[in-house]
Amino acid sequence: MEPGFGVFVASTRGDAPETREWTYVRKDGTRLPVELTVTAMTDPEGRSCGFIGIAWDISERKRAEAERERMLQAERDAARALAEQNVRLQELDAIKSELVSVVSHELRTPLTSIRGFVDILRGGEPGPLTEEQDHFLGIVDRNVDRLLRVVSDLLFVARVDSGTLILEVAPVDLAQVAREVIEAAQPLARNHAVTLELDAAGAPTIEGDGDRLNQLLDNLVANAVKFTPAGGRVRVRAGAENGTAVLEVADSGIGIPSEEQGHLFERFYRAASATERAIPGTGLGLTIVKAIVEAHRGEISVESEPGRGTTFHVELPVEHEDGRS
Amino acid sequence: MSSPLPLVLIADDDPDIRELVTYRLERSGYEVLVAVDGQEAEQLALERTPSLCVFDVMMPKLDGIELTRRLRANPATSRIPIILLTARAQEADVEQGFAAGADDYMRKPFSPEELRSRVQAVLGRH
Repeated sequence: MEPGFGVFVASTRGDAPETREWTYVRKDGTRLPVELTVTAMTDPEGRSCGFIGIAWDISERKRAEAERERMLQAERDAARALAEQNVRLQELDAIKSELVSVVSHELRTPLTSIRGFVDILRGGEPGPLTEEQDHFLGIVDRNVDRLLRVVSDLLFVARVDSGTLILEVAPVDLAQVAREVIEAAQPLARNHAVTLELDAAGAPTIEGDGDRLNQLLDNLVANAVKFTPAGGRVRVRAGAENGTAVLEVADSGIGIPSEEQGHLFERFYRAASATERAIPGTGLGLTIVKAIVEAHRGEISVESEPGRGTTFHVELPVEHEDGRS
Repeated sequence: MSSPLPLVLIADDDPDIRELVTYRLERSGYEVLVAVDGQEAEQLALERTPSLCVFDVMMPKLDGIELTRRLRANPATSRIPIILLTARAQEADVEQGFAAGADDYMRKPFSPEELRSRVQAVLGRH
């Protein structure tokens, strides 16, 4: 088609006005988007006698449209990125849970062999051991224990994450739990030259998971002993206050600075003092304690003064409502 | 002639666990028959009718739970006591094991001494 005015009217036929968008080029070369309405004119005899064209400057509208399209696109991009990220996070979460449980499982079998053959060697059946050999095998055994604890802690946390921590609820005598925990912690306390004290007067029987409550108190007591210098004491109290069951573990240990107290229950968090003093642990103990407390619909709090000691205070409902964490 | 030793069939895909269990049981007065997977264990159970079986739960080809179910379903082997070993720790697995017909259930890590006393206890009940 020839350039010139003809292009504007080329497609205009008949009576109906025709509207199209054009880009005008000004003499200075700048461009102007317009909406041009062209109407064919006819004389009274019906012969075509010209055209009327009305052009509107639509540069503002074009800008707004472009802006709107750009924002919509950005929104679509963000939504897609978020959806992709979400899928990826879910995959990662599933991989993590799967990994933890497979690794834990694959660790238990070799650990069974290590522990089993150490037992047999130390039992003396394959032949007598020197005192030193027996001592070294004792170290192997202790470290197997340590690995097993890490494995079961990891499994526990994975279970909490996947929502498959299920409480086996039955009546639990808290005085009995406290006595068992104290009894089991005696060897550790003796090693650290820490005295364990128990006050279980008025400890109620509550509805809960006995094994988990034992694990809860055991973790708190083991922590207290580990963070208490020789000659110190750890006091365990099981009782009731205002119709709520209370477990409390108070130590005369090194304490926790207030800025660290808020992080205590975070997974893998370890207090600076623990790392400095090379006190062993994975940073999962208190995470597990908190998960057990929450599964029982209870509450836990901590009070501590550096150099004076730390008290963990757990309140548990006497009656159990819903065991799922 | 003294009476023959009680025959215990063990099945585990881990050779070290097989050796551990064999060592403990042979020295505790049992004859031990070893299978490396569930299929071999099923075949040996049918051929030799052991006094007791110790099966790992996670085995290739045929797992310990399914193996237990099959032995229970077969009149020739339905009365042989079975102890399951597992590295998994979920309560649901234990329930599944008992539901399949196992007599006892041991979690890894178990001590060889504990295994010996469980074997003795289960045989004593039968």
